[in-house]
Amino acid sequence: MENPIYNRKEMEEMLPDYVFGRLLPDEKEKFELSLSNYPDLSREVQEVRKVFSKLERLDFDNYLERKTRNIPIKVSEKLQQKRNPLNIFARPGFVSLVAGIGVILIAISIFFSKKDTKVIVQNLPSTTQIVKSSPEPIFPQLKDVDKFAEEASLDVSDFNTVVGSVFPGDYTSSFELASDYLDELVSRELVELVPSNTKFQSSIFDNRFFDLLNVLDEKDFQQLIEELKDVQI
Amino acid sequence: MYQLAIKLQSENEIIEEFAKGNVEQAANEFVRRYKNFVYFVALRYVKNHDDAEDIAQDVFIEALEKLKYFRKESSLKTWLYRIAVNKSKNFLRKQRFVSLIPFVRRDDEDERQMDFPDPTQSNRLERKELEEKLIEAINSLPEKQREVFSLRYFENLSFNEISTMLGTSVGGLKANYFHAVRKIASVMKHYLEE
Repeated sequence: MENPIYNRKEMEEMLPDYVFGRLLPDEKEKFELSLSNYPDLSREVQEVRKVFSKLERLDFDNYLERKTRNIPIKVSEKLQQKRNPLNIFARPGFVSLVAGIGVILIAISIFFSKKDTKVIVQNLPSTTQIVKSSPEPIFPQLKDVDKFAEEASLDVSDFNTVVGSVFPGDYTSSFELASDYLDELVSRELVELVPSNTKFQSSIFDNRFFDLLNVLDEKDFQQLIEELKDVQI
Repeated sequence: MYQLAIKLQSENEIIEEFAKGNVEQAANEFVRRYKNFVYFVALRYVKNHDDAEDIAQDVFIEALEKLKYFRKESSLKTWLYRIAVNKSKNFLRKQRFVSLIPFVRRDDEDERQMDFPDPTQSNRLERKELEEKLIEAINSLPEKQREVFSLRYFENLSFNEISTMLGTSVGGLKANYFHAVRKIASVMKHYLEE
């Protein structure tokens, strides 16, 4: 048996290039010389050549050309979209991005508005503080009671004893008595029931207390009312 | 523009023209020259015309954005091939993820059937069927065999170039090429004899 120039593995690796005419002249010559030693490969060469000769009649470049004819235009359009920043608004993701940011902003604003309300409630001065800090008497008639107590040489405990019969509770001064009286008025929302001879210091209530009440939402206002209901008169 | 397109014969000329600022003209020639190659790479992976076309567009968008950084360490074709394969594989990963979600309907299944029609259709479509059958046969090959066959048979690339693209030894590529040709011949022989 004649020694082949190429071994079987080399022959297999070169077979496609031989069939498709891509071997160099000297490679082709050696391949053909070796082929007689491998009848099965020789048959395979014939079969591959037969099949691919039919396939080579296909204009595969034309097939791809038909499939890709729109690509340059579409790429050009996409590039123009990218270059024009205004077109960002036309992108599908933009709407969902804006919507998402909107939802987050709304959630944050709701969260902080609740938090602000709580801070307001927590920092809300008590009516006792308001009454005490007032430069002018809020309820002149109570001032008169206080004055009356002083004139009558009653100390605070005596005063409390006197008024305690009318307003049950442990009051250390007439200011506390007055503030609790005010709390009760607010708690009942019965402003109209304030005695006709009671004079409000409107500047205090308008600017400090009721303004604060106005910023309370319904829930916090109701909570305040509930707390004030516990005040005993 | 057409004059320039004729003038830009080598890939170096395209890159240089791009660097000079003739972006639109260079981009046009760049896409025109490599669109079939990039599309066919994508088609071999995703096996669907619409998806392959979308991927090809994305490949060119990315390539044109990065062309100014291209270092010429490889050919433009090798560079484009890598981008196309990466994008195709990313696409397939996303598709697999979507397929895990049972309530998401995959509309492309019908389209896939349209891209690869049943060979028993009318004889009027024989030529088109033969083309589709060849693509189907190529797509049935293992990835390495499929790629080396396509790059060698259709693109006429040297084994050294393919070796750079696929990261496989030339010897391994030649073996894969032989097996690919043998399988395609076997599949197409049965089809042609029907």
